[in-house]
Amino acid sequence: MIKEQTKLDIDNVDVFYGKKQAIFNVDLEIKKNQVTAFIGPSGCGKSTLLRCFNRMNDLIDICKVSGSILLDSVNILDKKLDLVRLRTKVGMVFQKPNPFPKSIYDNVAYGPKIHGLCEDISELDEVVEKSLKSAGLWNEVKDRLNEPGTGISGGQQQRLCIARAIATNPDVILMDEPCSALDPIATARVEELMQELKKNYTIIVVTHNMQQAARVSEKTAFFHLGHLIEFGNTEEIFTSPNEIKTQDYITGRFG
Amino acid sequence: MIETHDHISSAFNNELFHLNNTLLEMGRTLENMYEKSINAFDQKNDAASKEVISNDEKIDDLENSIINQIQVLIAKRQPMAVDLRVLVGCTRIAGYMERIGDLISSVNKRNITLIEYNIENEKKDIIDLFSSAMKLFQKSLDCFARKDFKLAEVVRSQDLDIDKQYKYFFNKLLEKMSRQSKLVVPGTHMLFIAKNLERLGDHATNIADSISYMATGEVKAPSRPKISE
Ligand SMILES: Nc1ncnc2c1ncn2[C@@H]1O[C@H](COP(=O)(O)OP(=O)(O)OP(=O)(O)O)[C@@H](O)[C@H]1O
Ligand SMILES: [Mg+2]
Repeated sequence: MIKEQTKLDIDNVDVFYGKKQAIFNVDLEIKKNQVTAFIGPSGCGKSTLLRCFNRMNDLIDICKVSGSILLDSVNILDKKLDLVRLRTKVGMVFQKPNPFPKSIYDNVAYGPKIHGLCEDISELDEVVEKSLKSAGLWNEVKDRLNEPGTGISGGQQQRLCIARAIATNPDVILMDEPCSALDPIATARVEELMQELKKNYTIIVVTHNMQQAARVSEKTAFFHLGHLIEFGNTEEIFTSPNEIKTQDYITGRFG
Repeated sequence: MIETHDHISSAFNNELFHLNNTLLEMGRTLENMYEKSINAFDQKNDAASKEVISNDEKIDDLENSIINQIQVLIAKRQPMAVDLRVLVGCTRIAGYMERIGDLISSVNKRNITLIEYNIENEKKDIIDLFSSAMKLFQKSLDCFARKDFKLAEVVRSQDLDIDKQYKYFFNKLLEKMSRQSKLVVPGTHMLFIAKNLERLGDHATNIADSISYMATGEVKAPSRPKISE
């Protein structure tokens, strides 16, 4: 067994929206090159916590985050942190595929371009091709790179968004219900992709699909009303969880 | 942690309830087969033994029904945690009960063969062993009906008594057979019967262990001392 390395060390994190507290004192270690699933009932704070990892909550005026989140031992909650750099290191894929109203090519090229990650066009071409290949989309779109990114199927759009997220060569990929709008085949493709991607990236996925969490992740965190109730190896969480609350939730029981 | 709250889906609750009832019916059918077999043996009643043997078909049907129900439940409900363990546990229990049915049938087949022999001296030992096996099965059934995995420990320890009873009878009969050649044929049948009865005890223990597994997720209970023959 290779020793698990910590990628994100979350310590004592509280999140408030105005006076309302959405996350309570969460401690959690996200391991490198693993998939960690966040599960829990609607409104329990999964997206809120996920958005802490790329400081997306900064965009919400009333949202206040405290505690510390170390990404490779750098505290990303530090006020002086370079957010642009952080967001190239921590990519995000959302529930609804949201390609920019641009060509397929430009969707993927956008990040590397604005961050000045490429020297010239041929390098950019390479990044686009490599990212689309990693996202398992290249063969389907290589002859239509100039067509709009919004003109492909939902499953393809989601993989385009994944290609866009990996084009900036991030360390961590956050996925917020990435498959909820996809059919089983497109879902299987994205899940397969996650297994491929975790070799190079660390993935955190929020999902309402328990089977998906069980299939794709090594670790699972169960949240309830802003509290982290249980965190552990996915196999154990789904076969014999320690907490009644976890069991009630994953088996569809009244809590 | 075996039972918590009800599922939100009432259909799921009903399906589990139905599965539970089918297992209990299988258990009651076996209980009945045990009782009839003991009487058939005691009274050298071949008609009763034949009836028990024909009952085994019902056991097979019930097992099939259980496996079908579990299959559909897995496909429809994609069970997790305790639900998953209950379904895996029920699959195993149905298998053990099916084998119990088989063993009871073989004992009855040998009973029919033994009718022409005089086995008065061994009868009591076999009936005692048979009764112990039946009581142990009833306990494991009780354990299932109540989902009481603490009772499972009791079943495990009592199975040891059956092993002892078996070993005692085996040695005693073997020793007699070596002295009386007319005992060789009926004695061999009785040795097989005793072995089958001892196996019945093992399966009752397997059932109890499956109930512990449902409750705790521990796949294998710690191994218990085995009595060598
Ligand atoms: N922009 C916001 N302003 C105020 N409150 C918010 C805001 N976003 C989320 N909340 C509140 O914070 C809590 C956590 O919400 P969050 O979106 O993180 O939940 P979630 O677990 O992602 O739910 P879902 O599964 O429905 O996506 C909820 O009570 C929600 O109402
Ligand atoms: Mg959310």
